[in-house]
Amino acid sequence: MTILNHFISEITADILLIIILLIPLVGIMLVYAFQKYVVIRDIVAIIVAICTFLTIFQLFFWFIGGHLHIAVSLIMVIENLAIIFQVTSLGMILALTVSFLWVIIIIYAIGYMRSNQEKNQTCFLIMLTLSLFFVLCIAFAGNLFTLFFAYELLIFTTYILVVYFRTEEQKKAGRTYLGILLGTSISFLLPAIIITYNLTETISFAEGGVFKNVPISPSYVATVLTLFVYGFSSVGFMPFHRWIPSVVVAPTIVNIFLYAVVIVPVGIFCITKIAVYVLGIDYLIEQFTGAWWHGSWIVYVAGATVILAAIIALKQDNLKKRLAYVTLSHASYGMMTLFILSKDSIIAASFYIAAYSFATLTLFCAVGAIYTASGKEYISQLKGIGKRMPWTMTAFAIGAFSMIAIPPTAGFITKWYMLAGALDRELWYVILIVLMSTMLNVVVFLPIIYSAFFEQEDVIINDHQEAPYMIVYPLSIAATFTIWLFFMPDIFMLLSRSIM
Amino acid sequence: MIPLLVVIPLLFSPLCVVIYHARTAWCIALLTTWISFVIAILIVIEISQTNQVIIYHMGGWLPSYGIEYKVSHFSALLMVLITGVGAILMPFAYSSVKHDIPTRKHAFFYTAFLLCFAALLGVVMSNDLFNMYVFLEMASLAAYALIAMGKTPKALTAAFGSLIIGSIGTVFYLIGLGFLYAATGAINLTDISQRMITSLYDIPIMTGFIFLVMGVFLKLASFPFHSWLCKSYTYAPTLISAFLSATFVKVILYVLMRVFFELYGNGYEFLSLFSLENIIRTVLYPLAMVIIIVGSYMAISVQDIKNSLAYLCLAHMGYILLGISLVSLSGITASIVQILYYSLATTGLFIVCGAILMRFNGSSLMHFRGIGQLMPLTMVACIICCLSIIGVPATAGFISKWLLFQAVLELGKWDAVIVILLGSFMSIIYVWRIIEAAYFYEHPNAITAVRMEAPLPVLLSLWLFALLVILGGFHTEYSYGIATHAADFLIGGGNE
Repeated sequence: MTILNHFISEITADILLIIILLIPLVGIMLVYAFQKYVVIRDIVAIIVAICTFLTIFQLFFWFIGGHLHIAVSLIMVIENLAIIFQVTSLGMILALTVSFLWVIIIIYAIGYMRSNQEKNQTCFLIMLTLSLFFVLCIAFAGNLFTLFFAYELLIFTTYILVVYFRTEEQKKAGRTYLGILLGTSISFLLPAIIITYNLTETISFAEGGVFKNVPISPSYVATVLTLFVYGFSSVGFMPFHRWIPSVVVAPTIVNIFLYAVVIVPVGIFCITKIAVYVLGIDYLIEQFTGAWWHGSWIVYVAGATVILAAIIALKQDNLKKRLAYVTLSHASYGMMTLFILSKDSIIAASFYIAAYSFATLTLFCAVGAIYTASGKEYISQLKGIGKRMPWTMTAFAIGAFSMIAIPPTAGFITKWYMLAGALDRELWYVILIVLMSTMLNVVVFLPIIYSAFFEQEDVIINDHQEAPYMIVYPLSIAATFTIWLFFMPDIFMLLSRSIM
Repeated sequence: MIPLLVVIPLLFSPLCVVIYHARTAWCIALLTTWISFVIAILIVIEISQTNQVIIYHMGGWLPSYGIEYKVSHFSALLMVLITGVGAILMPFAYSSVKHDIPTRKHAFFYTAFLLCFAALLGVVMSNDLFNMYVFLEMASLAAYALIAMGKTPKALTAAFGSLIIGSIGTVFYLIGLGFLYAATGAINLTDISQRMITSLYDIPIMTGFIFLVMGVFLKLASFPFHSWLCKSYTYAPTLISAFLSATFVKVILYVLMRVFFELYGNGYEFLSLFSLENIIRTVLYPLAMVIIIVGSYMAISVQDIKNSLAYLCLAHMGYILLGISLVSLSGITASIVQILYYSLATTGLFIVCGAILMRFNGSSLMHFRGIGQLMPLTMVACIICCLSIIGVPATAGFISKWLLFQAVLELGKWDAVIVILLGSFMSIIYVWRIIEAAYFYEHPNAITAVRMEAPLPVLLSLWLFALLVILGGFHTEYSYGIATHAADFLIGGGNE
């Protein structure tokens, strides 16, 4: 024990950062090693998730407690082109959110796979854990190269998940998914990074951005900004949004994963990170006051995506598809929040990563639970289901409330700060868009909740109860935390505020 | 130590015929390539430590009369490339040649192979234009013979086509050399380049330039003359396609770069009107972009993977020419790094093709169907090479693309940026087709097919290349570090 204590006391924040990144990799090996013993394998996967979260939480305390410069440089490829990991407030938000949701999703995934009796569970678990590793790499990326590197590999790993069961429609969806994400990242993001390097001779992140002292014309910066924004098409910015509705055909567990934990939040995170640490907020504000095509078009496009996607969502009868469009709407909502570019809106945007993830996770977990328990996929079938599955539908309602931003849910806090930011910058059209989107969200969600709880079932087709406990527990926890974030937003607020 | 690199393979190659035993011939080739590889590595280490060119006079005769060997950073890199590719391909050769060529011809095959190998090394280290011509011709003739040994009769016509175009190229080269000799009275590269500045015969020197460059371009099989190259790579034995694509074309590019920068780059002005920089930028730059587009487009439009790999090589030639055509330090560095790195990935893919050919007797997309399950190890290595071709980080391809982008942006050439992006996009489609066929389709006789992994020697070669591709994405001290020196040397007109 003393040796262990001694060892622990030796650990510095830098080493802890490396340990955090190593845990998922070790976990993958263990999961592979125990593939024959299903129970041990699943327990190992859960323990790995919990360990990752706990170590990140520890790192969070050290970070807040004064270790502000936690950075590790691993490999230098060419001059300036190095793999560097660094802890920042923004990265901490993503890491905390994802690693916490990870515990939930891994339990849920195991429950889901067992009750649907999927094949090749080991490989699936490995891919999930590998994605966690890449998300952590992105969260702690210390320069653009590391970010790009991890982002590309994340796309490949998640692509394997999308086409995991190799049905025809999944292959088609996979093609769209990889085509859009990889295509945009190679043809927009990479040039953006190289141009940045060419202009500023650095690819690292800096407080206040790296463009501050570079004399370049606004239209040139507008090009770089455009390339960056469309480079991360994982936020589904129109017109590169096609992948979001198309991957609906993947298993629900993968949907949860892409929409709530991995791809979309990572996209929001990356663009926020680039806006804050590469282009710099002050610089962007100056840029946005110019002609519309210098930057403010992003807010217009984001606003249009928010409204259009919500309207399309209204037309969908397929529950997953409706939620997919809502997701799209809300991802752009995050972007719009960010590009209001006031102090409050930056806080809102970074807090949004957490709020969005929790709410979306709850919603999609509920959809998965409904599918597992009853096999129902369409909204028209959901009449009276609230009486059969009270826990699931309550959680669904909580997730929906967070999306609409009804207190007491996490979504309300974001909207509060965002509106404060918009008022501060006197962007009236943004406020109009927010009001419209709120109304649209009410129309999207309330009928589902109403018919689930207050209408009678048409015909009793099959007599089902709640989904298995391995599915219901995680989703209840997610719902609880959506509410908890409203009352106790301290951790994320602390981090969000320290960004600026 | 330098002449050993040529002498050893030259001596060993007749031995294959003399002994005339298939297995022994392979052993000799294996031994020779690996010894040469070790020597080449020793030379690179020496050069990177001393930072000086190594000069050797054949038989003690000084230049003007004697043949001079000169090993700079650039040639040392090329030596490692040639010997390394040859050495690593040897395990693959063990299985592939057995499949492609009847046993009684094996001895001849390895003789020709070693001749080609020695001659390519000779071109790289020679500092004498005529000697270079001799080695180039030797390498080409051996290559034609090797191509002709392909399984189908079409290999013969392909080899004949290459012979015709190649010979025209050689004649042009020789005529150019003749003009230069007439104008300056020297055939040593350094001598010519020094004397031409003070020479009074401007017209012959310029005509010589045109002939030399035309000759090299014909040999290079760049865009308008590419058809024979693509045919030969398709029908030649896979080992030869892999070896030639990685080395032969690269050596010709090396000759081209030396002609440009060492021969004419010494401040010579054509008719006192244009500088070399002007000429290269106006002619080569658009051509390179056309080659990238044509090569990438053809690569995704043909069904046979071996054939499409040939077009991919064409596209890569375009990237390398683009780097050269920028006539800047970073551009030439990027080109040199690409010469090294693209070879790794394409050779790997040729090996995959060879493995598929061996197992299923065909290399079209149809034959790739379902092999993700049947040959998992082969396909994982194949994916690594494919990712390098797209330019995904953590692979060698990313580094070369990064450097090329840097070089292009440094000069603010936006048209080139767009062309490179288009090329990358098409390479995604290219790779996509392979992966989709391999993993998303069932093999035609999936029920009977059991796991049929490629033979162990093939896997060994393939994985060595795949690992090198990954290593190249992380460790660039030897590739990029030496390439900068080499580029510096070339830009300086071949002076230290």
